Amino acid sequence: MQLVFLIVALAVVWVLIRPFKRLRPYTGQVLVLAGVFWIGLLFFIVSYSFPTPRFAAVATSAATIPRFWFYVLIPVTILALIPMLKGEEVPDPKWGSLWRVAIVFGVLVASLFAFRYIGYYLSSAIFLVVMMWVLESRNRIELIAVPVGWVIFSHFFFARLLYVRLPIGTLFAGLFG
Amino acid sequence: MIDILVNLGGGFEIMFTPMAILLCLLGVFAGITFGAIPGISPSMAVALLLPMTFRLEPILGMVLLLGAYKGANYGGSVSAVLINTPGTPSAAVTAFDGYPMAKSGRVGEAMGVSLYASVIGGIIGTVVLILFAAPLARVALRFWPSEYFALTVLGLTTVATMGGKHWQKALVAVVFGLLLNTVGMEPFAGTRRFTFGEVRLFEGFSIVPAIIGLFALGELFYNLEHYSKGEKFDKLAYKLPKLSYYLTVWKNITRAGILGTIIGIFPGAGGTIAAFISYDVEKRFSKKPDEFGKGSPEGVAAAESSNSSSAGGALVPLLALGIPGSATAAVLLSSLLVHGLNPGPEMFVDEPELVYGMFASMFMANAFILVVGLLGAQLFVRVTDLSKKLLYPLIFVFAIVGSYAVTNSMYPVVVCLAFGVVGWIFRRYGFPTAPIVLGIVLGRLAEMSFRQALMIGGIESFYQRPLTLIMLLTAIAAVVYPIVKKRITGRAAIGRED
Repeated sequence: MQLVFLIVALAVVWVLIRPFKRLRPYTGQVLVLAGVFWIGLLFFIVSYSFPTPRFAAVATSAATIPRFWFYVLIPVTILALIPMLKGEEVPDPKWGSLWRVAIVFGVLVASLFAFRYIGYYLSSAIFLVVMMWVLESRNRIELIAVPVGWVIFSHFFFARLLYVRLPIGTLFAGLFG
Repeated sequence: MIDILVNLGGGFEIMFTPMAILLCLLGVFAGITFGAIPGISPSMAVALLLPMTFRLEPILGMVLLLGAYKGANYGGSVSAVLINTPGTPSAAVTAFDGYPMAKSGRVGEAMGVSLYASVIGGIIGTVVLILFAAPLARVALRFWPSEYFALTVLGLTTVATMGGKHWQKALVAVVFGLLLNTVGMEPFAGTRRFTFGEVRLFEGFSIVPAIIGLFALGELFYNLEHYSKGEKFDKLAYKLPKLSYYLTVWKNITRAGILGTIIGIFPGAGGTIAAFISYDVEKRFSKKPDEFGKGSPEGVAAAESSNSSSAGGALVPLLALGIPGSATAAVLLSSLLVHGLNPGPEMFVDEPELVYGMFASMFMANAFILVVGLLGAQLFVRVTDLSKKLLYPLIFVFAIVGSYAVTNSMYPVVVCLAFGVVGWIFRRYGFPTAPIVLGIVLGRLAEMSFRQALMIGGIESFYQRPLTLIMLLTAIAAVVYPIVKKRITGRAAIGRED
């Protein structure tokens, strides 16, 4: 829910800065600042729901520090905005191949979800193959050897030697469990 | 002094036995290997070897564990330099300059500086430990929360130099890190802050997955955006530089080593804060401060030397007073307790062979780090020779499994991924990510000590205690001085033009 609010807040900021020609080259940077400021503001508002200390002698509460950092954030954000308003800041970079980032991110998230069902080993092997494919690796030996090698290495090094309990997944739980 | 030398001689006598040498080498090797894996902290590396010590004599057990501790501290820098994935939190600072050096083809130089700085820093820490353990431990324990708070403020001032030209953005990033650090259970009354009903957020964001995400995944997402087929690193210089090269950074190594030891003595401060502060100090001393963050050997030397020497400092309160100042020291303490030994001032009198054997083993561990590092460096650096279509996927899976290993659960992995996205966005728009780490590292200690100081001594404790006042004034000067200096230089330049 907070993520939705953040996206809405960023959209509002984006709409608000469109009329200002001077800020347009810095849209991304302004949105980063707005995002950080939004998180600070959210923390500040939420901090009012924290219980107040029972003892009067206690000078601070759980809300003290988050509020303090928010107070610091206000001038700091303004300071960061000034070079952009003056046009002294380096403009936003152009977008590269976002599709590649999106695919890798999507596959990564999907493989993390798949840990529970098909286990770490198969999931990470599939991720490796897909990612190598996205990075334009077409060598079949590499596409097979790297995931297989990784699975063997991670099993012996992480699971056996370091006792990391890598998930084997519900699908394989019956076989190995 | 004579007593110390005699006892140390006895300690070396124990160390020059085949079993002790073998265990020390094994500990160093295991430590470097575990330390290089993101997610395996030095304390985890030592804890993993702990069961092996139960059947060994106490001194031999400690030789193994201390070797692993020292080795893991160095191992963290290997992955930090090569793939921008710090194996340990304190190695994050090494990555600031180590990775840019590797990227620009100076991988051998970066590995060499980090190795020698780590070894010499480790020796400095050990010497200080031997000479001043007892008095330093007593001083450290007299520190009030206000002094700890002043120390964190001093640490936070490093952000002033970290951002370089983008210092305003660095300030935003550090406050962002400090804000994120307030997520989770509040340290005094246990109030749940900003958890939004999510149980896993009660403990806040753990530092290791956050660092892996910000540095490794953030960099990878950025590189993927600008990826073109067949990419490889620039032409690499694998060879480690000649010995004479390291003389150019000896001052940085020595200063950072001493500073790292002193900071390491404070229980709870640790190598990460030591590395940040030493890095900042060396940047201020440097004749080429603009190179910091872009591939400065001085930066690598400062970070590694202080990180390594802080390990010696962390043992000061453990051995002199029986108080573990870090997670690793706590594991070492448990090993001593298993054998019925109680660290403290009496141990120096009752068990001199053990204490000085441990000191001697730390010297030997440093020597083995040098040997393993020199032999291994030629092998490690070949990682960067892999084509990016192979290297990037492998870094991804390493980062994921490293994060998973922190608590054997998916939560750190999600944290790592989230911070990866933040790291990518910040990197894209020129916001430095290192200050976020600084904020997360120092946030909790700053809050704890600030509130404790207020409760114990009120606001007066911040200006009535001399040491607090000195440290706070130093922090203010650290921020104000570069600004004033810049203005004066600017005015002088304008005056000359007129």
